[in-house]
Amino acid sequence: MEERGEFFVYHLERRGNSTPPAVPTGGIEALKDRLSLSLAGTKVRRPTDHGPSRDPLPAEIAVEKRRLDPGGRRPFGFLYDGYDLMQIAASLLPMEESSRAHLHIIFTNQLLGTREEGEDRYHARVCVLGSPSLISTSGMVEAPAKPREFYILKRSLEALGMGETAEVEFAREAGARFLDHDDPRMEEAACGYALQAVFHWIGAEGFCGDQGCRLFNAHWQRELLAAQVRGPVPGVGLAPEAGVMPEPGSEPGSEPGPEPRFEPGSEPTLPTDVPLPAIGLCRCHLEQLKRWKESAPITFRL
Amino acid sequence: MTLFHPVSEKDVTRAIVSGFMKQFEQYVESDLVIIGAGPSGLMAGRELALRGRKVLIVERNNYLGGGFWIGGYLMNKVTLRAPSQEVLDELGIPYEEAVEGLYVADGPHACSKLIAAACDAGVKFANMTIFEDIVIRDQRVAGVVINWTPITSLPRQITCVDPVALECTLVIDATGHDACVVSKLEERGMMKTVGFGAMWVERSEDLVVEYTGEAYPGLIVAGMAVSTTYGVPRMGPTFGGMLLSGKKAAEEALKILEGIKTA
Ligand SMILES: [Zn+2]
Repeated sequence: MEERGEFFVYHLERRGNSTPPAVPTGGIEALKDRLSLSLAGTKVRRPTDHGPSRDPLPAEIAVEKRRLDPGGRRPFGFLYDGYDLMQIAASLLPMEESSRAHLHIIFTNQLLGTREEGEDRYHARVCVLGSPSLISTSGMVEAPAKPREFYILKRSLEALGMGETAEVEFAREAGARFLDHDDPRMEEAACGYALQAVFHWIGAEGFCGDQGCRLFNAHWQRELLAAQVRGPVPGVGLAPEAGVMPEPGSEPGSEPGPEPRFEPGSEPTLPTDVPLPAIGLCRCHLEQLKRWKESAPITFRL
Repeated sequence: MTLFHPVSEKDVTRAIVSGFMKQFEQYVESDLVIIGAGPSGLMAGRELALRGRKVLIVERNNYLGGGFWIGGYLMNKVTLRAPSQEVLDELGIPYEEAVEGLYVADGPHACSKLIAAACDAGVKFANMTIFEDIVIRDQRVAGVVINWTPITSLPRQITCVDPVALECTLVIDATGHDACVVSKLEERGMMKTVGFGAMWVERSEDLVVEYTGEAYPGLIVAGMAVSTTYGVPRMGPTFGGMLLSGKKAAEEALKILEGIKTA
């Protein structure tokens, strides 16, 4: 396993330093221009669009180009087409690392979205799995829905023009119940999504129905925390209550199912019927990983 | 014996007319014309004037400051996130820390200090003045066409007041959500905007600052106009973002002006 720096910065440098440099005519600058044009073209203008814009403004291209520089500022907030971004990233992978023998996982703070078949709009995603696999840190915050109380409070305070204050206040009080940007628990959650990428890579089934398993497809922040972060998470372990329908409104992310019911003041409960191996997988998926480990072409520790 | 020195009505009129005309004539040509005297426009104007640039800010209202006087629910407290309190320090505006990283200041105090800072730096204003059109020369924005605000509320038959044109090297669109200058270019088919984006994230001030810059040769977009131009996710009032966007607009403008000088 190798930990590398920012994906685009790393591969641009690597291409520039190889002999002969693996860059098109016009050199590294031409490659950067081409990349920033395609990157700006993967921005999704409206969630109801059928694809990314493909027709970026000059300033949008300039911002993407600055992101290709080491140490450049990397603000986030726009939605990018996850599969398009994956394709652009794949185009930078060197031949010797493009085979199935390599698994590339890119962590990004860009918000990623996909519009799957049958969906009428783009949905924000935490990860988009493939080659390479993309895991979005802003997606961890924005894709799974926050507790309903958050949206209710936010809407009422926004009507008073105090949305900003509300958000800070709410995040402080209820921080334990959802991930926020720069949340220290994000690293732990990222491990879980990296595991999802590993399972996708070995060709195993996508998601797990077990709420305590790392492979659980979380639609709510509480579900994400339950599956990915071991720690006091209020309300974890309670079965989803049928009939308690949330009002997702305009919040990002896929349409969440019923939110696990939360009783204020209740002690954090972890699922008792589920073994909790250190790695955080359910028994079935842990077995699968062990079986695969025996036949795997590479060695790793569990 | 009266308290005030005796002056005639004609002297008063003469003083107003000559004072106005002198400035008007001087500012028929300037380095920069900024449209909109809200927080981003004022901030950009101040920074540029401090660096010796000739700056005129056009404001359609009589009053300057835009929405910076009041916060939410007509309550005159404004909130800013770190690091924008550094701008408050710079302008000598008192504030308190509400929660970690969030600061609250008095709207009237903050706004009046910012206006005064722009004036002190040497910015001149054309208030009660509307932006009507852009001047384009060699595929560059090279000036603006302005008129008196009152003509917009007069009956058609007496609005036969032709506008006048001002020339400048750069124009900054700081007109808020309307993005008036950008819209004019769009109307003429010279550029297109993205329009307001969907709300994906809770915060997007960073993006407003990052995308502040030249949107068309000779035109810089600042403040909320950035959101309209690039489809930055909708957000509530974020004065910190506006102030920092104004600063960035000034930096970008200086780079362009330097480039033109050396070219
Ligand atoms: Zn499982």
